[in-house]
Amino acid sequence: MRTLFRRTSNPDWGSLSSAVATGAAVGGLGASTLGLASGLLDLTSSGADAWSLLSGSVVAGLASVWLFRRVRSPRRHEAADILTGVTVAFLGMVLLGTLLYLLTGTLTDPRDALFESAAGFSTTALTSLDVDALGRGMLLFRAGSQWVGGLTALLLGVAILPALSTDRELADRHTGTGRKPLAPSGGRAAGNVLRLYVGFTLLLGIGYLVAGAGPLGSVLLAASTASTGGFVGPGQPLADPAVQWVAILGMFVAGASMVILWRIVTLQWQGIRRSAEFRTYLLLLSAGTLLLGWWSEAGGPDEWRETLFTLLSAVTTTGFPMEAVGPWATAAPVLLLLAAAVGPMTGSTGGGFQLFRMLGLVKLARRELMRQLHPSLIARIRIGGVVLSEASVGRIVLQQFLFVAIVVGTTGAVGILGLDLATALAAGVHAAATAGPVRALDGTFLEAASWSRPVRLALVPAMLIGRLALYPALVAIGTAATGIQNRLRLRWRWNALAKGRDR
Amino acid sequence: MNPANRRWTSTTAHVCGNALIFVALAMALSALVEVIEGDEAPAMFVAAAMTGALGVGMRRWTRTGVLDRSMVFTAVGATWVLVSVVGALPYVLAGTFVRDGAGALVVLADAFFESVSGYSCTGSTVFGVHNPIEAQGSGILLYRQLTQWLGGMGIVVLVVTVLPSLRASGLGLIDAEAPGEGADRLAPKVVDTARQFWKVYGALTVIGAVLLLAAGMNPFDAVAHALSAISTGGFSTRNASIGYWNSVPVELVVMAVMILGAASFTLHARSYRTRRFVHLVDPEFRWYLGLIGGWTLVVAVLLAADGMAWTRALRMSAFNVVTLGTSGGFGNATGAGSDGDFAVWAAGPQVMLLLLLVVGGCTGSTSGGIKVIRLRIGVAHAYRALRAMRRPRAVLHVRYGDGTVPESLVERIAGFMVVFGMFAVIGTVLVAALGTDLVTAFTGVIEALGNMGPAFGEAGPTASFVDGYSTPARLLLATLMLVGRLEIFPMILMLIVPYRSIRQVVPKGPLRQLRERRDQRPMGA
Repeated sequence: MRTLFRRTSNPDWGSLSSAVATGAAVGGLGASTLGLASGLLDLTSSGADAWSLLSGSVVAGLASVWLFRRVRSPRRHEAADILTGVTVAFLGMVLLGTLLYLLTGTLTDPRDALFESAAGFSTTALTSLDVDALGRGMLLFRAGSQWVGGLTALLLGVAILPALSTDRELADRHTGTGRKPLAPSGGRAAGNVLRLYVGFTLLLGIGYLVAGAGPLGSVLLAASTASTGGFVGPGQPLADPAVQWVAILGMFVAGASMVILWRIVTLQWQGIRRSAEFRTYLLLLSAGTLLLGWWSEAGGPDEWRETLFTLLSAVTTTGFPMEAVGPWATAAPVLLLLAAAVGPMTGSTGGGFQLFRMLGLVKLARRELMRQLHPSLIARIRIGGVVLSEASVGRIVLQQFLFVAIVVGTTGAVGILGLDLATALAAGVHAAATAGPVRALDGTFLEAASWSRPVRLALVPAMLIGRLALYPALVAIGTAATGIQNRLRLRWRWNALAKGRDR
Repeated sequence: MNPANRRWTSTTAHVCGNALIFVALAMALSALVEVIEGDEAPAMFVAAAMTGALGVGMRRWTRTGVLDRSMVFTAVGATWVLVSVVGALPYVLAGTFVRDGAGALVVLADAFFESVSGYSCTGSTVFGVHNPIEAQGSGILLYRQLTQWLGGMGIVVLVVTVLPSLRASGLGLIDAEAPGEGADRLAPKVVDTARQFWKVYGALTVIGAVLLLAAGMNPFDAVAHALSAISTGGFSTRNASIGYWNSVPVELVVMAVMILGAASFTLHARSYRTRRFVHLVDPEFRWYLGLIGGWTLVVAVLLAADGMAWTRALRMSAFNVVTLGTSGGFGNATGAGSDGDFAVWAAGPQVMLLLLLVVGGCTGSTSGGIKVIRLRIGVAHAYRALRAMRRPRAVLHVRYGDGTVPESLVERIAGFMVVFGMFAVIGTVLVAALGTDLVTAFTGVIEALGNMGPAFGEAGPTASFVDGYSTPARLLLATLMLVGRLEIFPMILMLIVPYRSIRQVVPKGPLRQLRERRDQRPMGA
């Protein structure tokens, strides 16, 4: 056994291969740890899924540890390879989650299991499960997969991407004074993110417990609120106004940047006031709530609370369901869809295009307007006093392009597979923004279970790419494509050489 | 004293006046046709006289001056707004949109909508079952078609042909009005360039009319449809549009004319001058043809998969792809729910058509949308940014055709696409807030910004915009049509000059005083 897990003495692996192997190992470890915890919890109730969860998780965990020990990382990794590794880790978790759904018999069709696992880890509030029929273990696994997905998004957005200098400004790690709010290095930033995330989840759990959601309900709700996942356990716990208030507060904080949360914890109030993105977040929430309340003819405090809940659920891409408050205005689905597409702040667990990028686009539009008048104008784009580099502006434009392309592609795919245009558009936006659940034009919720399997499968790529902030997934696809291209090119050259030699 | 020196120097008013004279001529010509067949000739003559008097007055009492960039935008934007407003006079005076239950404001709004839709070559209409097009006189119908023909090549380009005094400023005006990334100069003199554009435009219109006549239309319909096909406008003299004829030859001719209209007129002029078909040398035209061809096949396959017969699917796909891909906006549906009614197709082919609504035709054509070249460079820009992730230190260029695209152009295109997207999103929210469902609002805004014609949902190819949108929503769509026709920036920047004038007149408020004092403070103080 010791020999099996001994570190290999082989020379260093290549940057890409070691990143991919490490990613697969980390992904496997993450999902198996979650599976173990869920299996142990299941033992406290019926235990029907416990042994499947435990055995599957142990095997996967051991395999991951073995792989992890085998990897000999080089001194330096290429940025693109690290992103590929992150994508592989995420995909590894999704695939292992799929296997566990199948092993426990919760879902018998691999396509259903893949959809459910992808929706879980991507924190999309779409499910084809009957939650009332699930045991404790599977309930925790489903909510926990969202929590892990949220953590992946946070680490990616606040620690990994800024450390790779790919989204430095977007994660708000540099201030005007050059001070880095979370930590001087990516590793310490990741540690701080983990502490904040765990602490926030614990506080939420206590809040839900005090509000009367019950022990298991509190754990499930806390996990899905902190991760903006939107999974709700059995018994409609969100019907209680006190639970709703905790959810509102939780969603608001989950949609705010980790940097803001860090500043609150460390009592750096000035930074919060200076954050243009945070001000926009507050403005969006206030204006959206007022508009939605006005359209729904909200009168009493209960109706306004439910309106705020509905809007926060959309903006933060959490996706907690809330029935229409009053009459459903024709513009309400447009507003909610737009809110989900824009999403909350960067550096949060929320999905969507995110506010900082939206601000960047607005400033870019303004600059182009001025350039029409003064074609030689040289103007920098500033957000909250911080100058965005042209490379960052280019990336924001790219992300807009990719986001629209993914929405359009997914809408087209699910449209071809049978959804009507309005539903297809809503499903496409929600999948790419990792939001949900999808509403019909009249405000009623549409069950993902009522869609065909191909439709649900078509949503999976958008959910995964959307959760990975578009970039890493596309870089990984690009890496794979380049690898295939190079191999083909090599083979072609080899064949050409061989032909020449024969002649 | 020279009488010319007593004139008020305002290029904007002068260009507007000249544009109105052309509009008055179109009204007068239509009034003459109305005399032959129709009841509203007096109203149309009055409209022509009023418009003519206003135009002559503005031309007589103003003269051109030096144009800076902000003035160029003001001149072009104001001309389009004025022409659209005054262009509604024949409809108002003839009572074209008077119907039971519609108040005076609604009638005025409908007239304005139809006028804007005409001049901007959008092709959306408020005619419908409640107020059939066939019930109108020939004069009104011809006027509708002429509005599109005038708007297609550009009313300001037309004005430049008769205003040699504009000199170099004329190119700025054409540039601000022309679709795409700037206008090409065909001749050393700007006036000659503008005239060449109009000559080619006129020649293609005549060829289109002859071909439509040969395909089976009567002379009036042939001329009318040639006018709106070459301008990629989409107005028809029938409620069912091209579906009225239900004829393959007619559809083929209309498609060919629309494709020519959506191609660059610089290419047409060069082909005419060199007597060679130079279109295929142009990478944008090749991309454009490829796009249309590919889209036609994909939509046909999707329609066939949905149960339509293969030949029928190919016909319906080809016509609707071309009509939306060129921003033409004609329909070949023989009735609501028929095979050509894409509003009832499955979502897959609808999404494919929706993408075409955004794309549009080529630079320097009569079509709307964001244009093929912008899309091509936008995609190349995105691909470059993705490649830069793998090679952070590499200097990567955006290539187009045989050359490299300047960074300034790439940034401009990226900026335009962002602004287009923002207008689409904000417009959708506003139109939906005015009582329209998601699909109808979104597609309506996209088609208005892209000057396409029919939308989806309740405003499909067989429906009237009265059915799909409330009156305020229609007014908003009309505004977006104007914004889209001038490719957004000129319509916003036309407000700069009035804004600056107001700032000079209005006394400074405390906030402005504070800001100015702050700006004047030395650095570090």
